[in-house]
Amino acid sequence: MSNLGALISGERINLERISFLLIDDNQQSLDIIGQVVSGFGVRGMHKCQSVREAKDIASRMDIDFVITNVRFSGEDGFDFLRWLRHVANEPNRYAPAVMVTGDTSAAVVQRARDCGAHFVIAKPITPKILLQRIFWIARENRLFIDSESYKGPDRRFKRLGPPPGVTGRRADDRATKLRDEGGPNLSQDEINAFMKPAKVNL
Amino acid sequence: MSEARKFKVETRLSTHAFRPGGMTVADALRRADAALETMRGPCLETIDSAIAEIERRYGAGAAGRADEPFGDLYTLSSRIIDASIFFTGADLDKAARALCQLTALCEAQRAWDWVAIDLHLDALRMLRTVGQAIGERERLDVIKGLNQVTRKRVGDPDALPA
Repeated sequence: MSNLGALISGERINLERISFLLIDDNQQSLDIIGQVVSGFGVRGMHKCQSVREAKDIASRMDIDFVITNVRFSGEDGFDFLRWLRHVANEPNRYAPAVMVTGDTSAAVVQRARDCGAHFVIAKPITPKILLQRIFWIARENRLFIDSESYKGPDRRFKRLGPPPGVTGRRADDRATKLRDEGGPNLSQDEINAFMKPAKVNL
Repeated sequence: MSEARKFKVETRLSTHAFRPGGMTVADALRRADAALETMRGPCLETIDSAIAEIERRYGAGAAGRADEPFGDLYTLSSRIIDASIFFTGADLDKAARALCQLTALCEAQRAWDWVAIDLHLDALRMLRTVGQAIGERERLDVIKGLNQVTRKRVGDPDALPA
């Protein structure tokens, strides 16, 4: 795990010119995230209650950061993220993306990661957790992977090698076995273990 | 199999986040908390109205509960999770999350398990009423019990596709 250094409360962040796209089919949840983000000084914010609306925005405007819920009726957050990574124009397809979810089962977190999410945040979201993730992403600027089966931030931060049963395509690949899955709901710490966290003290 | 491309992308976030101006972390968190505070009342109302609606449509006394959609119970439970940002120290969000997973399992099997649903609803009501007054260990026992009941009676949430 990389150490990106401690963040102290006096450290500055400037999000005035960063354009956020927020997606959630629940208006109240959208408003909660919107209030948090506006508190961080963000001026450009698009709130969408459907994936169709979000695709329309992302097709016409530059988006710098995506926060999307996972589950919707019809097209959901996974569909949007896959579209963003595979179909959307540059530079939007490289935009950092965070998925928020009330369902933190291992299957959901893994799918979010495999759709190209930088992080998964367990609901209910708090300003501190969201700001930490924004800092991590901004500082770290993870490498982007473009392959037939996956497009998104580099998922292999623990150097565990290729997935079981798959022949590696990198010179430094090595075979290994992933640990067994744990209980039904992952804690935020366990989620982070999937998504390359770094310690930040707020 | 084609070669995977790996490259560095300079995002606008990385470029702009540490430019002069902006605000301190402490200010950002203070402002976000203040902005959120305007939603406290509506969120607490959402918790109570969602529990009441679950009770009315999916509770033991609801005559037509077997015909209610699975998805609506999932949505109502999700609303409790969202809104519980203002109801901390009660683990209400964890009970609602457990109900979401139970509902997803029931939906996958196209069959309700009313014993498990009733138990989750009892837990929601209890945690909303006295959750902030009881100890953490007692609350965790409640959540652990809910997960055990789900696993024993309905199945393993991790076996569900995402």
